[in-house]
Amino acid sequence: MSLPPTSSRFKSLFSGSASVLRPYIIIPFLLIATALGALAWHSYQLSVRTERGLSTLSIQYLHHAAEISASRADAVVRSAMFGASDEWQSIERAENPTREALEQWIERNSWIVSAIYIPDADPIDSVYVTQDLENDPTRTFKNEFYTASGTIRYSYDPSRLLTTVRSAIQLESQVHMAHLPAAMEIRQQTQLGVVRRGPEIGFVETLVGPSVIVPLSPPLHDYAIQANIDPMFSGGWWENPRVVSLAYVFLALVIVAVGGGFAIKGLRRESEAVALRTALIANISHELRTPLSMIRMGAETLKRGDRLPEKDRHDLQDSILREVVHLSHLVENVLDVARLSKSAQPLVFNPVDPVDLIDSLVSSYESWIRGKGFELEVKIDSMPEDQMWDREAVSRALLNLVDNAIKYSGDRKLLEIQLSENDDFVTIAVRDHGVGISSQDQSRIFQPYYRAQFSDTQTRRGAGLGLTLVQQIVHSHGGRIEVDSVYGEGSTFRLLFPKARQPESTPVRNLRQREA
Amino acid sequence: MRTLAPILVSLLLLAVPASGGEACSAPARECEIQIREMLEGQSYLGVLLERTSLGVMVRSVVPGSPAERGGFRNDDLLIAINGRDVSRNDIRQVKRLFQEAAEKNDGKLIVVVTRYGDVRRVRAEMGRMPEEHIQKAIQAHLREAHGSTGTGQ
Repeated sequence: MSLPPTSSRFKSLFSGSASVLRPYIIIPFLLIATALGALAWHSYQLSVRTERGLSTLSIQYLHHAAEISASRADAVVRSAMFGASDEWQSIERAENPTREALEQWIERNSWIVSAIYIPDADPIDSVYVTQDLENDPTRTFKNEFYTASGTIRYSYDPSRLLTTVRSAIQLESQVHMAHLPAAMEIRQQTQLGVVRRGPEIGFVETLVGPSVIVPLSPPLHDYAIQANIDPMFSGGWWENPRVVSLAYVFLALVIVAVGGGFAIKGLRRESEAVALRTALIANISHELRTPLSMIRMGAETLKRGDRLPEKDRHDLQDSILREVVHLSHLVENVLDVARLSKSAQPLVFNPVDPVDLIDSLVSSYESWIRGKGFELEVKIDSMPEDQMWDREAVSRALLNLVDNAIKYSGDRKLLEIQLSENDDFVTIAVRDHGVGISSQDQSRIFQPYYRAQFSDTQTRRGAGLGLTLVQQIVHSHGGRIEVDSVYGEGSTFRLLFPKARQPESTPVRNLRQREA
Repeated sequence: MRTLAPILVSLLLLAVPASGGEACSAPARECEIQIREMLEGQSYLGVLLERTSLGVMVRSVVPGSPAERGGFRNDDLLIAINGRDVSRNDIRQVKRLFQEAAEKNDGKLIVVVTRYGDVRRVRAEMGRMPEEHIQKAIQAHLREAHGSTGTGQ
């Protein structure tokens, strides 16, 4: 059974007789989609809430980090200043403070710009040393401390303390970062820095994210510690959990839609099959009635024994026999329907002469065909040697084709049967000049119960199984079936049987039982 | 050795001006301003202090200073300054009290000392750093570090 092309599949999905079934599919789909949407929305809300919680925590942490860093910075400054004065005290204790000593002291504490040592004993002996490296007097501060034998007064540039402060802070934050696990999806890294103090203090929302600013104590009160968190994702946008979860939801919706589509299609096929079967049953009773009534009429007439001319008697007998043949033909079809679900009967292959097969068929049914008003033409292009066929099956197939040709006839009642061969195949073709098959139907006529739709009012008899059977029979012989048809002009069915090859004895369903 | 000595001495003499002159990288004018600024506000008493096991003692008194005029003598042991007990203080704390007096008490000091067993009260009045001291300090610096005797402009 071949699948129809994708485009017609999709078209048929949204058209046709599935309108009754659509609610059964669409409603569950909508329910599932709504549930998925609610889930997605809820999980989105959860993630937003989690992020907010993380933000709150991180802001608290920022506060702490900034304040601790500010204390550290202040401590660094204080220790620098105390350290300098302690250093000088020990210099003074060790030796008499000289100019060189003062110079070296300033060099070691490079943040001191200039210093003067005023001895208590004689201020005239004051020693003054300056570094004076492009000094901005407005940015220098003054400080002094007393020593055992005098006073040190110095001016210093607090910005020069910043390098010490910065390195003290950075060291800490690096050490802290080392403890974080490397594979963190949301990388919230704290950045600490020394900035010039602006008008804002405390929690500040900046372009780079939340920030906390804590000013430093004098002498660095022009500066502040700024701590901010960079809430960037360490990975690419595809690793963003929100994006990923949204993608999953979308994928789930797509899968549900596709599944729903297939469900619609399957159900539609089912409904079609059911409808066809119902029609079949109606058809059967109608079809059986006609030949039965004819047989009955004929038999009754014969029985009545009225004065009938000999010719008329013969005609009646012929008619009865014809209808019996036709009836058995119909009954076979009906039995096939019943047998559809049963297990298959294997083919029996014997050497068969194709010419002989066609001849017997024609002779059996010629009168019936002519009785329908048809002309029959048989063309034997070549006489192939015996083929390994199941005679009954092939006859059956041929008969079904002939039956179809008669059923779907048009104005010109001509039937052609042609036997030909080439190197690979023996071909039996049945050609009619009937109503033809549209290209849309050509792909579907082999499906069980399928009957092409016609706009004319002629009632068509049959179950829609004939061509299915034909296809199965041909396939079981290892061959194939071809259809040439133009709508309105007629059709040609070709059965191609492969030559000189042992056909597979694949079991074929729906064959008539072997007569005992 | 004997011939070497004068060579060494002359080398030293050469070296001294090299280390002494032009040692200050700032312009002379700048240094003058800075020194003046640093000395001007300084209150001046004129005692050299020393920390002993008994407390803070006057090691020496600068002649002609407010301390001498007020009556400080060598070996005076400081007990109290302007009503504050300093018997357990160190030199820096004492100096800080001097500075406080200079700022808040108009430079007036009332110091209780022990002199050879006797308790004495010394009144001194700290003055501003005298201008001539400042001048001399500036000139000393210019001479030593700039290799010149500035005219003190």
